[in-house]
Amino acid sequence: MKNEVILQSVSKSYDRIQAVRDVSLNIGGNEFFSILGPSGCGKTTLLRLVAGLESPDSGVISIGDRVVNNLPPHKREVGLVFQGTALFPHMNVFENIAFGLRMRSYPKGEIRERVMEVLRMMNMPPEIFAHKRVDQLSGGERQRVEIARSLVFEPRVLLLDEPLGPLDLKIRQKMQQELKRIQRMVGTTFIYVTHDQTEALIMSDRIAVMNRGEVLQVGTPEEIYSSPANKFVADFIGESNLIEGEVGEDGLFHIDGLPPIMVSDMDKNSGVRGRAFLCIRPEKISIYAEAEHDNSVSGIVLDKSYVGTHVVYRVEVGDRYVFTVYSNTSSRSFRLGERISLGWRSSDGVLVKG
Amino acid sequence: MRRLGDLALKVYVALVLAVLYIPLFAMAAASFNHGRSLLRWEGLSLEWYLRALTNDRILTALLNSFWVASAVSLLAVGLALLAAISVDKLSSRIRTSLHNIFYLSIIVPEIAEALTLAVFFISVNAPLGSATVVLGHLVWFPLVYVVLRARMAGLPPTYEEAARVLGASGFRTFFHVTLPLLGPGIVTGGLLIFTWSWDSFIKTQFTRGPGFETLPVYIWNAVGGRGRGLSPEVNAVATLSIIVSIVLAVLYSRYRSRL
Repeated sequence: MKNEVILQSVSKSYDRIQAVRDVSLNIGGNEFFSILGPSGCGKTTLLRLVAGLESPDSGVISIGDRVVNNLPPHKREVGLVFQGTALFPHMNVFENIAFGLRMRSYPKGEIRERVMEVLRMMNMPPEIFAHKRVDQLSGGERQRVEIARSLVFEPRVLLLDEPLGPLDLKIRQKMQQELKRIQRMVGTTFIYVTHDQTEALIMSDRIAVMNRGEVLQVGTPEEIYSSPANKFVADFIGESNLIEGEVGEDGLFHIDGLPPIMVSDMDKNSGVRGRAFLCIRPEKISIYAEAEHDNSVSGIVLDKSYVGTHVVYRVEVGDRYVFTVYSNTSSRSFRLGERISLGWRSSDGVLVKG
Repeated sequence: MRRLGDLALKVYVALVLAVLYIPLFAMAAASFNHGRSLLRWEGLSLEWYLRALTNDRILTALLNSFWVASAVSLLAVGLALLAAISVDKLSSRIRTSLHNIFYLSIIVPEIAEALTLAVFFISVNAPLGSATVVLGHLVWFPLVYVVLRARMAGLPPTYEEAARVLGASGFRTFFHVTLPLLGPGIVTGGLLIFTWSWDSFIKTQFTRGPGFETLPVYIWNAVGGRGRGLSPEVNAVATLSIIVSIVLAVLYSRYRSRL
């Protein structure tokens, strides 16, 4: 796959705060690529560096085989959709979308055609929306106009900075589907910044997880979820049980107060030695009245909550660890205080460094 | 009890408004009086308006007031725009001291400013005339600056950034996005300094050359020079001047609400 955006050892700091630290990424053509991380992790700065609104202290940024380090934003041919809404309030929908085309001196007739076309693509009938004022639009409509405005001049890359942030859950979910549809339709590379791990998992072809200015892991949603690179990624993406212990000479994982635990699939866990964390996803653990499975530990049910699709148990194990376990609603129910066994296959545990 | 309080408040407000506006109405009424007296009504007439508007000296003063105020407004808007945009490049310490200096020119008593200006113009041998009046009024440009900065503070930087990424150079971003968004601020700031210039007597009197009269200066000369109190002609011009001021004030508050 051709790489549309390449970052090589890019760093950027403000005053004495290092916002982006030695980041290298290859983002391919036609890819829906997410940058995921908590607020303040540097993901927005990374996006602004690609857009040209900030310049890197060191490193090289290229877009489509061209080094853009010294190129001002208006010559980079990227689109940027902002967090809030940055539609120009003194222009109507048509004028907002036409702005990029006007700046590129497209002929009037073509501007008209393209604006109408992109509005239809956004499922916004031009006859209803073209002449609306910005303040007559709903939040979701504004967001779609902003995306249309950035797509209409066919940029090489579309950068999106938490575009669905201010929307309600329902509209958000609808817009997530919309965005995926649009991305598939136009085939442009999307770089999508978000702090919402569910959103990133649902929408992305690949995800880069960031924390404190560094990229910790890049991979498909499945890779990131099932083989997190370290404790932060394991903790940030989805829910997980993380228990500290030590990899012993015997190849087993030793946790204070628990029997030794088998962790197979050493490919995933190669290189993890010494102190480490065992990560097990709550849905991979089964609850039994009696011990079964490769690994099993006994515990007491502390708490139980029904969430519709499944039941969440909090189980105290070995007097000091609390495991979260998702159990199927159709399986046997356990009482608070009941002694039970937790079991999981050795291939479901992953060892990560802190 | 409460109703009594409401009533007292209404009466009080009515009194305040009466004290403020009755003299203006009295003057406006007198300007339509057929006779010369302020106190005795002798019938409706537009005589004084006719006389005023055929009086060359009054017309010249009106015209002077108008072009001085227009020139001052345009120049002040230009100066304030440049200052408001470039001030962000300065360190915050210098910016703060600059703001203090700017605000000073708004709160310093006009008489002190007028005197200093006169001394300054004389000491640099600047011939007093219309140019010195315009320069003197321009010292009020921070009025426009303050309005523009307030407007800018309410505009997130994302508009300009969006324009840049959408393909506009810095120059085109300014003309297509920044300037239109500052529009209401430019209009309100311009109107504000226009009324200040239009109304200025003290500063104009100290910085004008002989023979150069604006409307307030003419009114002063007409009253003081003859030593016989107000001529009804003056009532007529003054009423016209007030109408101009009120129209500007209405425009101002209308644009102000768009900020």
